[in-house]
Amino acid sequence: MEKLQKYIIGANASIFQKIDPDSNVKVFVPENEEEIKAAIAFARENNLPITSKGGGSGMSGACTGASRKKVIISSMRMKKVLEINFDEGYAVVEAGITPDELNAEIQQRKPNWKFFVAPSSRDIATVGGILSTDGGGNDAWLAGTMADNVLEVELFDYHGNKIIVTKIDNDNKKAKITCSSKELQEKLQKNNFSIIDIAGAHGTLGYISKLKLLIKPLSEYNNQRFALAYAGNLNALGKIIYELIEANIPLTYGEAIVEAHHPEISRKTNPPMLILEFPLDFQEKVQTICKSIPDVNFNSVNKEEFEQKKEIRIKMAKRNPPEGYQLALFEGYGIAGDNLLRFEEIITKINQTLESCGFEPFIKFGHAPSVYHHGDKKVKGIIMHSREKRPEKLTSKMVFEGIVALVELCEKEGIIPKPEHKWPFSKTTQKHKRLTELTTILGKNFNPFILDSTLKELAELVL
Amino acid sequence: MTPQAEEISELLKKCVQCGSCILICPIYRATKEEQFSPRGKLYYLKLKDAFPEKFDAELDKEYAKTIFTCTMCGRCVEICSSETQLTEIFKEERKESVEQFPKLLTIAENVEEEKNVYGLDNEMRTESWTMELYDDFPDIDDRIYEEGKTAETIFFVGCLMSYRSRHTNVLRAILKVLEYLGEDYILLGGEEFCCGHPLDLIGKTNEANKLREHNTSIFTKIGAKTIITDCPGCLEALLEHHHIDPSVRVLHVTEFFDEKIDSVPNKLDITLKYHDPCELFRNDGVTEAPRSLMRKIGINIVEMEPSCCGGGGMLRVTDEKLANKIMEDRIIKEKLKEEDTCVVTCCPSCLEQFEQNEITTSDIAEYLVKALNL
Ligand SMILES: Cc1cc2nc3c(=O)[nH]c(=O)nc-3n(C[C@H](O)[C@H](O)[C@H](O)COP(=O)(O)OP(=O)(O)OC[C@H]3O[C@@H](n4cnc5c(N)ncnc54)[C@H](O)[C@@H]3O)c2cc1C
Ligand code: SF4
Ligand code: SF4
Repeated sequence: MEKLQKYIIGANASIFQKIDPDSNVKVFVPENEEEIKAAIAFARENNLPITSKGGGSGMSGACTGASRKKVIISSMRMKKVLEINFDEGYAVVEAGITPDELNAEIQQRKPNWKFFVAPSSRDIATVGGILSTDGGGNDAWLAGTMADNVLEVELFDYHGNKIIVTKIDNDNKKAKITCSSKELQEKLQKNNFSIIDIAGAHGTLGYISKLKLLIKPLSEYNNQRFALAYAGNLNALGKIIYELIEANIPLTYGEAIVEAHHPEISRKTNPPMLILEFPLDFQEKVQTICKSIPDVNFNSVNKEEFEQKKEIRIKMAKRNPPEGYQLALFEGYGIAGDNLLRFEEIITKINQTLESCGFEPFIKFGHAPSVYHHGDKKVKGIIMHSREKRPEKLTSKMVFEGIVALVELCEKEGIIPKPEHKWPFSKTTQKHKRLTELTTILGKNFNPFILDSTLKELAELVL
Repeated sequence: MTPQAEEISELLKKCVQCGSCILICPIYRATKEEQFSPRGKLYYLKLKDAFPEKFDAELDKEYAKTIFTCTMCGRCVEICSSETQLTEIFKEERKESVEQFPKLLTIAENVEEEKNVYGLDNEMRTESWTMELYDDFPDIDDRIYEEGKTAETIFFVGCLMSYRSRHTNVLRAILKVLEYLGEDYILLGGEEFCCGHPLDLIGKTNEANKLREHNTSIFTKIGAKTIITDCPGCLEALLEHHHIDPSVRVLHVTEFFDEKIDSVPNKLDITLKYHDPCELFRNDGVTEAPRSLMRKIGINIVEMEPSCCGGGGMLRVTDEKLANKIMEDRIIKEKLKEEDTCVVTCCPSCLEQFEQNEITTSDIAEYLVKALNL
């Protein structure tokens, strides 16, 4: 079964599926620290880079290591909950556990407690993978992204050194480093190595084995109300998001359906629209905001109707068009600030760019309002996901040109990337520079393709 | 490309490889190997399409093993928002695998030669259990089909219940209830051929259809208005593949009894954990009738995760050890040994799977007879 295992380990949710199966030299699925060290030692002895893989739900294809020879270390057997401390509000877990699995364990002991990072892929995405992409979900607006919810990370470097990064003063950029190599410890400390570096690093800094995560009671968010805000046009949708951000409404759920070229989804949700959950005390304020915007129709709904809309929304990422199939060409458009006030223009330009490259827009949706980290800044806006209709004759050239055109458009229009999806491959970002700096200390042995591949190389992997 | 290969290729395109089907798959949970996961099995086909030159018979044989390492519980289909019909793909792949590697499984020979999964003389089908029931049903032989006999209702017993002694008590219970209801029913005896479901599961559709043609011809001769069975696999095969006259109703026994029984004289007031047989609720859509019947009997139902017992998809034949591992995981997850609550179900295969793993389990019919004081 070893050959089959090496072939199948390339399975992942991105468009990069055509991974040369023989490039996976060996696959390890460790269950404990010794096995992790043995896997790393094998790579070192054979002079091979390492790609870490969690649930394989990432949209950038970073868990594949591209078609270069490498060793894959999966975290899918690292699922233990090592400690849950309700008094101090944390859980210590292995990197391969999913938010759903963790919350099931937490709620078995205290039903009203939760780990608050809920990407739509929470049934498969692992906490190690979520930190590596700085993922977030519909509750990121209040709870933040993964970086905000991690108190400590344990990772291994290429030499088998264990590095523990402990957050200080609740600041993602401040950490105490403990390492089995004192020299490395000093270097990392001096270079202000912190949780924010590991967040969104796409596995370039080492193999994450353990995390200490923030957990909180649900009771903070009691007595909720639910509403659907229908916008007559895209600018009205952008304006609602803008105003909700300005008013700092503590929304416990906020999701936008921007457009859906799918009769069933469209009939059931009537986009553009927002699905909202907020505390009773803020009902009047949310209502006033929505009613003050021309072309917005505010509807209070009961929990049942809210849940139905949530269900449609969470499935959207995976839906296919009624005829043909979907494709996620480019993901994680961060639209914030004044750009929300010209939302229609932005969406039109994205769609025009897609169409000019041979892609038909299918659906757009996203967490809104939401928060994400961009370099040193925390940005508030919508993180918009997009699916296109898969062209019948898809070529790597089309994908390459499409992504390049979209990156250029985003740079020109100030669409801020959430460093999650196709963006790790953009060499102009601050994140890219920082990771290059850190890998000169830690070594360029984990997922090096993230920092040195060309889009052309990646486009060849599209299936 | 053959039409089948083209069809598979189209079905495959629906899968966005999101991974939502991995952690709910009983096989993945037991093996923790991605090649055994539903997504992994589809990825193999995608990859083979992309790099045909890298795939040889040896690899195909390994893949064939993973394709048969599946309980066909359908949970992956249920969870898939992309509407990928995984079990349809798996059935086609099983068919291809058996053609490519005919010696992969021996069960097919049993069914083809003897018309039952055990390879036993088919005339023994009813004899093996009716002998034990003469005390309760002295005239049982009159209920067995012979040329010219007609009846309102056919009770299609199925291979498992016919040949495995554990089910005699369930059969006794079902027959007692049929007698209590005054039903005009008939059993097919040696004229009942395997419903073909096991052959479908191993990719032998043509052979399965031959058995079904025979069964359907007997159904027509009897002229029954209703056909009932306790086996969800038989039910699926009867509903989907026997081409039975649409005026004839095909029901699971729990549906039949739930329709006929409004109340019972002796409400049991017991608490039991209900195991939903995968084929019954996912493939046949029967979820409410067993629950409604249990409520009428006075069973307080404790729901369990709708997960497979490990007995489906012929897994007990292809990999018994793994089937048991799935059950062991379920025992831990549902605290079946820690808590003092028995399991109730309505599928002979699931029942055996639980009992073989030392979990006290009964069929709903066994409680129904008690509640009816029979
Ligand atoms: C249907 C769907 C919905 C989604 N919804 C959201 C959403 O709402 N919000 C969101 O943020 N994302 C979303 N995503 C994207 C995806 O789920 C996230 O990127 C997720 O964080 C990836 O986790 P994973 O365990 O699957 O990681 P993988 O895909 O396996 O890997 C992602 C990256 O993490 C690295 N990595 C994984 N494990 C380790 C480890 N132990 N040590 C070091 N590096 C590691 C890999 O090398 C890779 O670079 C969605 C994806 C899908 C398919
Ligand atoms: S079969 Fe469905 S649930 Fe499974 S990976 Fe494919 S799209 Fe996702
Ligand atoms: S049918 Fe059941 S056992 Fe088979 S792959 Fe799907 S979930 Fe797994």
